[in-house]
Amino acid sequence: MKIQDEKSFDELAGKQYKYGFVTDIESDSLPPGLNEQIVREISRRKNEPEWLTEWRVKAFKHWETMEQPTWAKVEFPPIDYQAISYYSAPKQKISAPKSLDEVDPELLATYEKLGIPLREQEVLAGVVAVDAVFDSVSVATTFRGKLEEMGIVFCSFSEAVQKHPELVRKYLGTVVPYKDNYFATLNSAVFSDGSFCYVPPGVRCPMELSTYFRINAANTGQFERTLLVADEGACVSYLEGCTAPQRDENQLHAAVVELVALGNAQIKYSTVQNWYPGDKDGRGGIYNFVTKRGHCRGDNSKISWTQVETGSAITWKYPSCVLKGDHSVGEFYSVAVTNNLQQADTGTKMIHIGKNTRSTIVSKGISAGRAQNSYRGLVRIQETAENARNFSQCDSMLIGDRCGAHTFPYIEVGNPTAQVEHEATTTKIGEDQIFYCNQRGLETEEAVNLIVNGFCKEVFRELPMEFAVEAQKLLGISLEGSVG
Amino acid sequence: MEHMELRKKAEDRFITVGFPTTKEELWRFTDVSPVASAEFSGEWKPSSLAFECMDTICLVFENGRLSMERSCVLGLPAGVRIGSVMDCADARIGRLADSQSAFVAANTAYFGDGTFIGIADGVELDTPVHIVYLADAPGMVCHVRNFISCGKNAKVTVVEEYIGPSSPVGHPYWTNAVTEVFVDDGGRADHYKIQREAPDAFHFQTLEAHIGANAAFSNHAVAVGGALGRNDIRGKLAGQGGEAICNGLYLLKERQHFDTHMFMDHAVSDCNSHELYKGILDDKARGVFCGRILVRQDAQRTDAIQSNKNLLLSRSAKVNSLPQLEIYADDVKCTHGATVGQLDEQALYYLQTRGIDPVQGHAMLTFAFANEVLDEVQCGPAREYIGNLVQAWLNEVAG
Repeated sequence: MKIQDEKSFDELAGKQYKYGFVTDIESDSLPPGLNEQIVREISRRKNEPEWLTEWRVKAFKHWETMEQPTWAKVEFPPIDYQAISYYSAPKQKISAPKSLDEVDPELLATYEKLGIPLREQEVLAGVVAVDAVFDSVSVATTFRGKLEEMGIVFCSFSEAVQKHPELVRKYLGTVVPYKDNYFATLNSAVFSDGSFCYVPPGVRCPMELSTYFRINAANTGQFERTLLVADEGACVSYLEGCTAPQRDENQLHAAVVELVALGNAQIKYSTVQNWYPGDKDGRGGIYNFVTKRGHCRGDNSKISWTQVETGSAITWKYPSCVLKGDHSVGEFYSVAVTNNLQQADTGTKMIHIGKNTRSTIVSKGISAGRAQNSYRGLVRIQETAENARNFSQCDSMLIGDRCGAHTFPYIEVGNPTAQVEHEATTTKIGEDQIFYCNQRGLETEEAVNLIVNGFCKEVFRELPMEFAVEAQKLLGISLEGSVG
Repeated sequence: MEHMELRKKAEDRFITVGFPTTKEELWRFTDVSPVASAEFSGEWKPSSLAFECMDTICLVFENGRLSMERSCVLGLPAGVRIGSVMDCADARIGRLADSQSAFVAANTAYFGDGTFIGIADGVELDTPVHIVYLADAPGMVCHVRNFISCGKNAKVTVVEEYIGPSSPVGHPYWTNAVTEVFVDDGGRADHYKIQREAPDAFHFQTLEAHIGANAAFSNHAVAVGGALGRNDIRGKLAGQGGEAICNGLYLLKERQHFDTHMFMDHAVSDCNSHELYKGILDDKARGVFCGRILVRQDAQRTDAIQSNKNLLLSRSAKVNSLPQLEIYADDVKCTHGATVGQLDEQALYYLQTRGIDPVQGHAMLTFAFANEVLDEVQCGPAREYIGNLVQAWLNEVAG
């Protein structure tokens, strides 16, 4: 019965995809395929300045010379890049479900468990187009007004290109150059939209910025590009993603996130990723190939990544910090959960260049079902990084004997004053732990939830409060059915 | 020789794959182009190098050729066979080390000599077998092949030593060795490898061990010589209750580059493996350590510990450490750790307050760092021998 439901969800998703191509091509989407014309056309439709068009074309030309990397410990059938439409207007309403009754009941059950209000459920499931959302619109605009007063620019990427081209031009591609890697290059050529944020010198952003508020840029699809700049002494916390499973029609997501922290600036970037992971047999699901990188350019700057990855069929993501300024700090806190046939190859890179730079890595991988979960991380201390310090801890938890947990750290040290430590452990949930919980009246599933949450506590502590609560619930849902 | 087919296959493979490049993940940090581009046209000559025999059983090779005059294998107990690998008819040769890499393929195709040690079931040989490879012929290639078979409930200790002159030979020579070890059920094989080749030599070795049920295998690898070197150590725990210990110490200076790739395959349940690798690097030396533990599905109750610690004595020394775990079973105890740093200032200060001058204190702490690996050496003569080697190296670096 359950399987059938999932099928219908798949069909639904598939349908929308299909119809999106045939109808209304003129007005809001380009035909599938990728060539220079398409890249130029995307740029033209977005009314972009000349330099940006050329930048995209340069990226595309470079992409043509590249090959898809194979080093990650993930397996998937080859992607036909010519079968993807690289530009579609914000929302295709043609085949969206007319009401919640048409939406996969399992998805709805999940929303309910997360305690998401009905209206939001509709938005998430794609019943209602986002641009028509009632309260949120006003909410969003109120916040934007407040931010503008402080000089903070927070808008969609396209808007930023129109309104603040000088800022975009100054920073775009300086952290993740268009030649960086296969997926980043593809993104550079065809990115559709994303968010842009600039916090002027000395300003502390008074609220957590979130894609949630950024209604106009929502649903920008698969090639999102985010650029966040914290000028001297600025401070900003950014939340990305959505805590409920996104109903999404795209298979391939190749996003790029660039962070720039100048002197004394602080950026905290939190992600909760819960894209559609595919069904129990591994059908469907999102391929999440993301390049995220932050530059601590100035002295005493700090960039902190926190991620909770529970969704996607394949996650391929290494949020990194380049610690260039003296005394700069990089942090990476991660929980990656894989169940059923999910695959995750995720970790971080910490590149120490400046003196007295510090980095902390805490990674928790949980693998259940037949999933494969890998930590892959690089810590590089360059010759100039006097007294650099790194501490890495990677813990894996295995639930069941058909899953895998792997650790692939890369440590490169070129300065004797550096102190680098790496530790990794592997555990499973002890039968005695479960038994103890059972005899205290907790169901096995609840007990697993409790133990797993304890395992991830170090990371959840780093999340902004409202996110942390949902992340905990999410963990429980992701691991459902993995025990017993 | 019945290995014609094996050699032919390996040669074909060597010719098709060629030398690895740094684009390959397994060779990312070690550029073998100096070997690939060098011309090895050196003539064989007897070696004039002296060595110190560790005990009564000793097998000596001069530039890759067995020298019976300098060896001593008389009065072996019953059930013990020691000799040239060319006289060995064991069909298992090439079964473990076939053509994993270009180096193994080249060895299989072209090996000219090497050691064969066969210990019959139930025989315990307490005297360590000391195999000495002397190399001082400029521009020579020595493809040496060793085959060690330790029978059921048998015991053997092997010390494999590669010696070159202490000053450069001018035209570098290349040692390309492969050692295959079979430890049958309940057997115990302790293997030591000491590498002190000439400062400009190339040294590559692949060691493959197959460990049976309730068998134990240990490997201690000490590397101080060579300009460019690599050890590939690969163990397979193929029977329940097997145990593997792989420890190592690399002491590098000047522009030496030494790479250790270790791979431990837990193929069945209830096995232990412990690895401790330490490196001390001075000048512009570069050390690479990659350790991979694979715990296969259903290899439950595996206990695997891996640790890599590095001490940098100079500003220009560099270390790459890649301790990796690949786990497909849930009831396992696996940990790994890696550290890179310099000597503890506070420990130095403490010694100073006790009246020990900084130079001496430095030497003491450095030796103590290396000593953790030496402590694990069970074979008395080998421990003393390696200890002296480490001490001599430290004195040289300090002086």
